[in-house]
Amino acid sequence: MGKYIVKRVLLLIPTVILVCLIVFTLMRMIPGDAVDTIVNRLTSSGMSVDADAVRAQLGLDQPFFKQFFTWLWDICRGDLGDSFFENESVWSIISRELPKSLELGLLTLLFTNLLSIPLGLHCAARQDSLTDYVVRMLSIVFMALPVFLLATLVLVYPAIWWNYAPPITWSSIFQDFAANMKMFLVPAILGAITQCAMQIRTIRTVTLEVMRMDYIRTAWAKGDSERTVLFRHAFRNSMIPVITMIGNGLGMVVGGNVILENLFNIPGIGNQVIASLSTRDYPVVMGCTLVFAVVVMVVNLIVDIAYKWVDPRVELD
Amino acid sequence: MKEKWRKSFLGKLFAKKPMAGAGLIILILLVLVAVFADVLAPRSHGGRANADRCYP
Amino acid sequence: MQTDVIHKLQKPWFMLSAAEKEVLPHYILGTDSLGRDVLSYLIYGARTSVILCVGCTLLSMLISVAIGTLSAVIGGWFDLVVQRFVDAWQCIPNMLMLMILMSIFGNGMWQLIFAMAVPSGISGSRMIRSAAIGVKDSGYMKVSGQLGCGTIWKTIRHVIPNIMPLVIVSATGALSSAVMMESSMNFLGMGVEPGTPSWGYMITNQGRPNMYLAPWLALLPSIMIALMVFSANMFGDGVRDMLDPRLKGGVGSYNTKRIQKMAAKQLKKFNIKHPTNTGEETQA
Repeated sequence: MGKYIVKRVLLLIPTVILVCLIVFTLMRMIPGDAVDTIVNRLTSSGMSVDADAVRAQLGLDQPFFKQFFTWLWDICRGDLGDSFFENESVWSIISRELPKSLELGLLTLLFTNLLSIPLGLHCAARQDSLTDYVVRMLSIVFMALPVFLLATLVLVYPAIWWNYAPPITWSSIFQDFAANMKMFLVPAILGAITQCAMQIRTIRTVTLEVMRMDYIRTAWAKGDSERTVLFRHAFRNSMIPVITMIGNGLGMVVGGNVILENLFNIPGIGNQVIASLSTRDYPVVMGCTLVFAVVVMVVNLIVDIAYKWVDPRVELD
Repeated sequence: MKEKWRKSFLGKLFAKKPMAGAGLIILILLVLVAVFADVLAPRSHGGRANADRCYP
Repeated sequence: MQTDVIHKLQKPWFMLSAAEKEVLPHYILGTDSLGRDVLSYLIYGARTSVILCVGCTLLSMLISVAIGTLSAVIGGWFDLVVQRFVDAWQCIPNMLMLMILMSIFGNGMWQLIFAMAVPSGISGSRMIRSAAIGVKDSGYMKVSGQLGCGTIWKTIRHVIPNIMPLVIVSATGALSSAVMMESSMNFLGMGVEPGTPSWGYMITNQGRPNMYLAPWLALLPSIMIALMVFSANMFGDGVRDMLDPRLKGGVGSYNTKRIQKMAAKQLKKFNIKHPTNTGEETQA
């Protein structure tokens, strides 16, 4: 077990470097020079600027790999660079906006699991009942609706019927709980619906498989009450794939739902990336993507280790 | 002939999983709409280019 | 597409009152804010969506199979490097990757196909690779290697036909995710060029700005998108369920029924009418 953990952690390093390389190469391939934009902005505000000097100052005139290794070395020392256009360092932008994306993601995760686990287990325990059919039909339908569709419908029709509009400014959850919830509740529920649909199906399938196993049959034959059989034996064993799914959901928590953040004006990382891409603000986009990728990798690692700990029979690659 | 069709892949798909068969039919319909889009789209009215109607 | 300069934001035909029906031109689903007929826009949007999704799925499958099988068959350090690369690529969230790629390539149909196919193909190559590894060590691969076939020929001729069921299942999965991604990218405005008709684009540009005046402009393309995603999902599920037992060597793949029939025919030759219990009775 320990060897496995060490091996996985060591494998993390070349993967991180490869991610950096991919992100860096992609960003450098985007047409539209940031230098030109900066020069245009500065000259339009009356200053005379030398494009070469700007380029040299930003370090954009050096060969590709030199730039890459300089950036990598800065990251190792904890410096993600400064934004080209705002007067902030990338890290301060990220640390300002990460909590909001995190809050949205965690709320989504909470709603998904609160809704899907009881429903999934209930549908498996009462197979082919009316509830089962209704939930199955609904989950098929909701799995097919893209997130932005639901979001648009939720934004358009309640605005007409009830004059609903999502709030524009963000207030911290510790200072103003109600206003914070007004901003985050609706997108969290919307984001939860699609994931919930998929999760209910999986939970139902896995629990049904578990309930066909021999040890469950033994428990029924022993005369255990339904409650014992279900809760002590069946559900525990069926929760294992659910843990994997929750883990994947955790990865997407910081991955940030770009569309929802955009539509509901949540000042999170996803929104920031959209804004920075349009202004070709390389450092911010690279920093945000890197943070996402690293968090996804770390979360996957933790989930894999937890999975192996919970179910020692598993042989992971 | 009907037996052969029943046992083929499509026959089994429609028999065992009608929803998947419905999905396939809808997809094929969409592809047909895509191919024949010019024919299916309604024509303009009046036979005159609409931009020429410059009523005040 | 033609624009009707006078009749903008007209309601669908069935929503008009009788008096209006006589005066206004016959637009079955109404017009949008530029005067374009909504039905025509939906139909041409279907064309765009179908081209994008089918193209993306085909290209994605091509990339997956190429990377997966070559990585499995060549093996060694090539496999290790490519697998690290695929791992790293999968860690970057899908939407971000798509947005960055579309910023690189710019708006446009072929650019969108390529940008959607590349992440999808690289992610899908993992499954193909594990299947190809399972096939790689079979007898016919070794024999054809000894006969002197080159690596690529061996791959094409032997590995790929045997992983076909998995490729098809993978393709249907790629189709449903392609439909979702394509509508999302068009919704964000980073998809096809602004003039091309597309359902996602209609929601952003016509549906949301005109939500008080013409709420149906958001509803109709939503229904079409939901329909396409739904049918792609259903079809993919059905194909996967039907092909999956075959993958695990169930009744379907080895045609066990046929073999059983053949065996029963051969057993008849021995004239066994019915099993007898005489042996057991004597023992008891």
